[in-house]
Amino acid sequence: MVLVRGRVAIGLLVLVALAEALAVVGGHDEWLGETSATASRLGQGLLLAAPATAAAGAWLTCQQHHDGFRMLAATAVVDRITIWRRAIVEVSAVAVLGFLVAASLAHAWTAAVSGALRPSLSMTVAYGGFLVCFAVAGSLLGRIQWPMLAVPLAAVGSYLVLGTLVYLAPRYLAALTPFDTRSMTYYRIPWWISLTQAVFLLAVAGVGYFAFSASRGRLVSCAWLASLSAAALLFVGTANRVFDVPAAELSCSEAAGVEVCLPRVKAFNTATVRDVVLDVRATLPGLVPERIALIDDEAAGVDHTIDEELAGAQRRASSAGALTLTSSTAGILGSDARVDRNRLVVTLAHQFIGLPRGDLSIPGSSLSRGTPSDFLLRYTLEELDIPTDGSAFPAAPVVDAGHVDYSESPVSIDEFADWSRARKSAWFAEHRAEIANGSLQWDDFTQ
Amino acid sequence: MHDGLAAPSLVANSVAKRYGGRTALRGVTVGLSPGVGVLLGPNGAGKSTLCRILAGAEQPCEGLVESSMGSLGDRASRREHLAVSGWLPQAVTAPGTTTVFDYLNYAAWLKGIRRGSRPAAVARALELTDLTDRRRSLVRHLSGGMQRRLGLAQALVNSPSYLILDEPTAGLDPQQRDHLYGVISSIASDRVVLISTHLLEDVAVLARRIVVLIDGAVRFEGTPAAFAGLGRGEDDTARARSAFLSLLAHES
Repeated sequence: MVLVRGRVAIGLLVLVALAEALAVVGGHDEWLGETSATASRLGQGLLLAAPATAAAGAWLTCQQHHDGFRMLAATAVVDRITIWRRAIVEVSAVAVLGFLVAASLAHAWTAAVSGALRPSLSMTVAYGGFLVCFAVAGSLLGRIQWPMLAVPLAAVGSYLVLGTLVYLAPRYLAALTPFDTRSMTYYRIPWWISLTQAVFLLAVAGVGYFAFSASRGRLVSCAWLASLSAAALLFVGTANRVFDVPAAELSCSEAAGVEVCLPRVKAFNTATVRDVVLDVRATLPGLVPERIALIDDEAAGVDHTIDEELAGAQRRASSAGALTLTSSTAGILGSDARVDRNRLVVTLAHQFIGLPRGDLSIPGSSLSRGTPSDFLLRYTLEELDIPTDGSAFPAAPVVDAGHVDYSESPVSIDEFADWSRARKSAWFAEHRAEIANGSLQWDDFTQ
Repeated sequence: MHDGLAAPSLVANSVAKRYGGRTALRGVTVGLSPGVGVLLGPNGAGKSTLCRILAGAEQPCEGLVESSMGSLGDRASRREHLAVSGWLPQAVTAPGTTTVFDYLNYAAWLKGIRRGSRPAAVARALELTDLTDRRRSLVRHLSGGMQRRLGLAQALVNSPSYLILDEPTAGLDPQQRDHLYGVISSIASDRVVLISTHLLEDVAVLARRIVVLIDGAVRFEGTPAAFAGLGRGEDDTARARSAFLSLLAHES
């Protein structure tokens, strides 16, 4: 490296890596726990990384037109286009290195959390092609030779162009580049699409590069290659994603009468899920059966392999006499694709405590009429240290005394909690059906 | 050095150069052989234009420039010539944010020096110009004299057989000028060195051959003794000054 001096190179590398890291960390609450989701976030990081690369390309080309360098170039042995190429290659190399650093860390984090590491090489090549494209674009702007104009123009212009495409033409952007804002669990972009995108992007970069060389043949070749690959990508469309079977395969584990079956990429949540089930079972003895199977069917109906696995898990649970709860964990995931304990407790509680029908409002009061179901839900949440005022998570149940009138209840929450486990177990078992369908009455607490 | 070849030579034959309607050189014929040749002339005489053409940085409108590699009008020969020639322009303004080493390393790359040989080539140029201890300095932190020496270093980085120096002593203090004289003298024995200057002191110290260019045409070409013979005075410098002034007066 000559043109990209140490500090400049490190600056660009850090900028690109930071942009990528921001995209990954900033989206961790929406992260789906899979490598393809991480790759998608990395792609979105290009919104900042690409303008930084373009700005560096513009600056470096401006530098080459500085008197001191132009004088050297006038008597250079290497030709003019080679001199320009060097600036592009240096900027591209540093930018791609910055991307690789961030991508490696992001994928290592993915592997550490979800235990599934399958980064796509072709997708990485496509990202590299994207950065090379912007290095060339910036370098073309650098031919203005006025850094005070070219560098900001390259940075802001790239950002605006990308931003505009993101909002106005996301379909075409996703088809032609790895910049894809869609999140689709268990789906990944097939390698041949990423590779075609890489070819398209590098061909576009080649058009920009050879436009100023004497090689018209190569310019035409790049233009043809860009056109053909673009046509192919637009024909294929953006919906063409591949279902990632290994990521969705069920990982089942049974302990203490609780079997948990989760997709492999989310299997790191198994212990959490089991602990929550055990907590709920201990809180609602007699209501929650001793043997229970929780099966995540988020990936059902997409691939026959997964469907067969789901059916097998359900058969296995039934034959073992376990109550089988089949639902998707997609709605109970929090940051870093970890199961949100609060959501899971409420979800499980609702599996056994049915909601009563009818108008529960009290005329002239801000409180709602408390029902036995509200009472039991409040008891469960309080026992498991989960807020009852609706602050546990967005749209969490509001069952605290500040919002619900429990004056009709013949027992207080504390009195009910003080019941012995045997008494509670017998009471829950006796009223299981009423509790489940929401028809439990206050009188039932006194029997 | 251009190893394995006969002694280098550089000849400009009936060279003319025009910029728009202005004629910078008219039918200049100059022959240079190993040793220091000094190109004398008043401001605007066409010295820098002739230097650029001999360095291969520009092509003449008419006439021919030939080095030992062949005609500079021929692409392959010109490329060979550029590989073994160094040029110090009148004004060198290296980018201030570049380090001395990076700038010279880049200059070496431009001259086609292989990656493995570049560090040694840069080190040699730094040593010749006494800039070794400033190799990591940013160009903007160098004094004017040091920046001039950096310009000389880039001209020397490929150990050229043809060294074209346009006003190399401009901006140098007497001590730095003496150092430069020493450097040029030490390398000039088997290389073609052309120094464009308007300082007669440079002529007295370095010249083995003198070319006087006035108004784009050669008015004198010969040895220092022959040049001094055109003037009058008690010592060589005084006679050279007198000769130069008489040529100028004759022209006007």
